[in-house]
Parts: sequence; structure tokens; C-alpha cells
Amino acid sequence: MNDAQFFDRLKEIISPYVQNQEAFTDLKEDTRFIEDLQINSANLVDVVLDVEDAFDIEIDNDSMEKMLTVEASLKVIKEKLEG
Amino acid sequence: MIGNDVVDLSLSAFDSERRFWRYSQKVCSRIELNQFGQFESKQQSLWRFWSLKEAAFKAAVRLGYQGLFRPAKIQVELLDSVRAIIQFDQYRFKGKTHIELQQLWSDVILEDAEFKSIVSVQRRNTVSVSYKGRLPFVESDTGAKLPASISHHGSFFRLIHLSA
Repeated sequence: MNDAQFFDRLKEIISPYVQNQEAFTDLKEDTRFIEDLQINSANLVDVVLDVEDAFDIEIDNDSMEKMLTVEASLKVIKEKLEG
Repeated sequence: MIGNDVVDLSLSAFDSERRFWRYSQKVCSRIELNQFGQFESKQQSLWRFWSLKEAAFKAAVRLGYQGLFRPAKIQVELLDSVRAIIQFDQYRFKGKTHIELQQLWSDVILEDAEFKSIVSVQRRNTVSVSYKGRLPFVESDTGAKLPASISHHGSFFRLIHLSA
């Protein structure tokens, strides 16, 4: 899976939880989940669970807390996949 | 200082028991998980813990806490079907949670303060709300700015503020 495919897969995962569609349309690596996409804090946990399922990885609480932007989330996913 | 949080339970259901427990383990400690179902249904317990943690976080932010919301780092102990104690950072709060049909909400206040100093506003348009940064205030009849906390989820909205 290349970087663009990781990005697209993550975009697909967060899609159901996004409340600011304008920011989602213009999704970038530095897009923030809460402030820009207006994903509520309870749904951030859903994003983490969906990421775990999609990539067959386990995300510990310390890593979960870092997943506040697209870029940070992709970094966590790649780190977990590299094991 | 005060904080509140409301949960629309109709929007907070889980597809499966497995998903429910995976979610709960991301949010609650083992000690907290052991209290699930003790005073309400297990799913209500999860959202009770969640709302108390979120409300305590809001109250801590008002007291100067500058970190992010990390629910697993906030410790909640349920005392009965309504009351709870919340320990977060250097702060200790007491909380009250109520459940009415699909609405679950929690209010928290510093442990040594009184719940009677919290005013609950039923209709948002009956008060004037202003913000200092991201912190809401309600303007009193005399023009004083009273610390407030606002929460909305789904079809529910709750606003509380300290009394004048």
C-alpha cells in the first residue's frame, strides 16, 4: 500500500463521523479531526476502532491520543504495521 | 468550577457486544469497567463514565488545564445511581448524572463546592452567552459574567452556570 492508498483508506474510515464536509472535501495531511472536521470526541474512539479493523492492528491508548490529525494518524498506522 | 456533558443515547448504540467492550476499554480503566452495570445498564454505564470524564475535563480547562481530553487518564468512581467522584490531574470533582429516556447528562463541580451553586438553564435563548477564548459565560442581571458550561449532542442541549 503506498502513501496515497493509506490516505484514501483513512479518508474512507473517517467519512461517517465528519461534520464539516467542506473541510473534508479539502482533506490534507495537516487537517485536524476535532477543530477542522468537527468530529466529536466520542467518535474519535470510533475512528480508532475502525482503523484497527481496517488495518488489522491494535492501537494502545498512548498511540490513540496522538491520532488528532490525518498525518499523525497515518504515522501511528504505519508504525503499528511495521510492528 | 463546573463542567457538563450530555449524551443522546439514541445516537450512541453499538452494533455488537464486541464493539461495545472494545470501545469501553479505550475509555475506561479496569476498575471502572468493573462498575459497569452496577447502577444502570452496562451501556448507560459507559456513557455515564464518558459524560463525567468530559464534564470534568471542561471544568479542569476552566481551572487552567491545558492538555487534551484523554478519557482513560481521568478516574471516575461511581458512588450510587447518581453521584460520583472524579479525579483528574491535580483536581478532584464530584459529579451527578441523570438519565431520562434517551438523554443522559452529567454535571461536575469541585469536590468542596456545592451543587446548589449550579444553575441549569432550560432554554438557551433566555440567557446571554459570551465567550472568552473557548470558555462560555452567562451574563447575570447585574452584568456579571458567570462561568458556564454548554453541551449538545443529537437532539439534546444543556447549559449550566454558576449562580451569581
